[in-house]
Amino acid sequence: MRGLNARRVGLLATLLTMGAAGWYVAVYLARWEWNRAVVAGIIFLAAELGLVGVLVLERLGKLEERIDERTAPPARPAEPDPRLVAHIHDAAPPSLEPFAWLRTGEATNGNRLSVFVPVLLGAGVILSGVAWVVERIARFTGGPVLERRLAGRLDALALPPGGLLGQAASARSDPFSPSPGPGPGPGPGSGAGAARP
Amino acid sequence: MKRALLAVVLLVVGAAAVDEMGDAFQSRADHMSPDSRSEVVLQISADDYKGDPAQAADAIVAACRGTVRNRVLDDPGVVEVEPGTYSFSVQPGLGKNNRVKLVGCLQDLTIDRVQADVVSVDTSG
Repeated sequence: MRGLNARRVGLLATLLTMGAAGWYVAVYLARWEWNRAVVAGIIFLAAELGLVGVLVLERLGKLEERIDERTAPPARPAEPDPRLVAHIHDAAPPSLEPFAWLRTGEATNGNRLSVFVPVLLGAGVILSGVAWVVERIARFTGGPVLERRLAGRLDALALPPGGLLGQAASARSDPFSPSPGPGPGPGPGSGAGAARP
Repeated sequence: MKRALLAVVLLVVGAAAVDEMGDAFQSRADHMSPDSRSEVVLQISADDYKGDPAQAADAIVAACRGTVRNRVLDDPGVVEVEPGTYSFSVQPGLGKNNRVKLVGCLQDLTIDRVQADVVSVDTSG
């Protein structure tokens, strides 16, 4: 309350100073007293600067408070009442225990692992049978389909009908057969070698 | 309706204020008789001035005589009528606007450590 009053008094004094200084600027100008008008103008500007500074700093302080409120870690909760904690603990439902039937106890009169192992083996046999059936079905149904699909893909590599040279080339003689020359070639027994004794 | 009335009132007040300020800040030529003359009496306070009060009076009159076109009469010049009180005359006499300008200059902080208070301005002729 005291700070608020001091703030108000300060602002009021600043405003009064501004008003008086501004009024005297006009009065001195009307009296042609330039030096006094300049001094009054400087006082007016100083009061105005102070007022603006106070207001800006006040607004910046509020912004800082907002930022601190947003960035501050959440307040740590107070220590809970032990009686309340005990009450909640007592009212909690029993926890689930997986494979509870494997536990040994008086009611089971010993180890129950003898029950678990046949169940595990039986499940394995059944799953193996199912897998064998699925594999057989896939063999009979998937094979022809995959073969036809592969043949369709290989069509892109097949030669065009009639080969690369077309029908005319296929009608000619075999290109790999010896071509008929202009005369008898140097066959065995002919030439200078043959004339030698 | 209230806003329009308030706007009109503010407009009228603002226009009147600007008109008054214009009249107060402006200076116009005074039409005075060439033979008229004005006697200015001023009180000099120059305790910290490096010189006697008569020199301070001469200095401040010399500094301010250029603010008006009226001629400061050299005869009798700046004379001491009482201890700390001096007078001088100008011709033609000071009209309303020139009087404000000259008195303002004399009473302003024109010369350091010299404070002049105009006691009277008597215009005759």
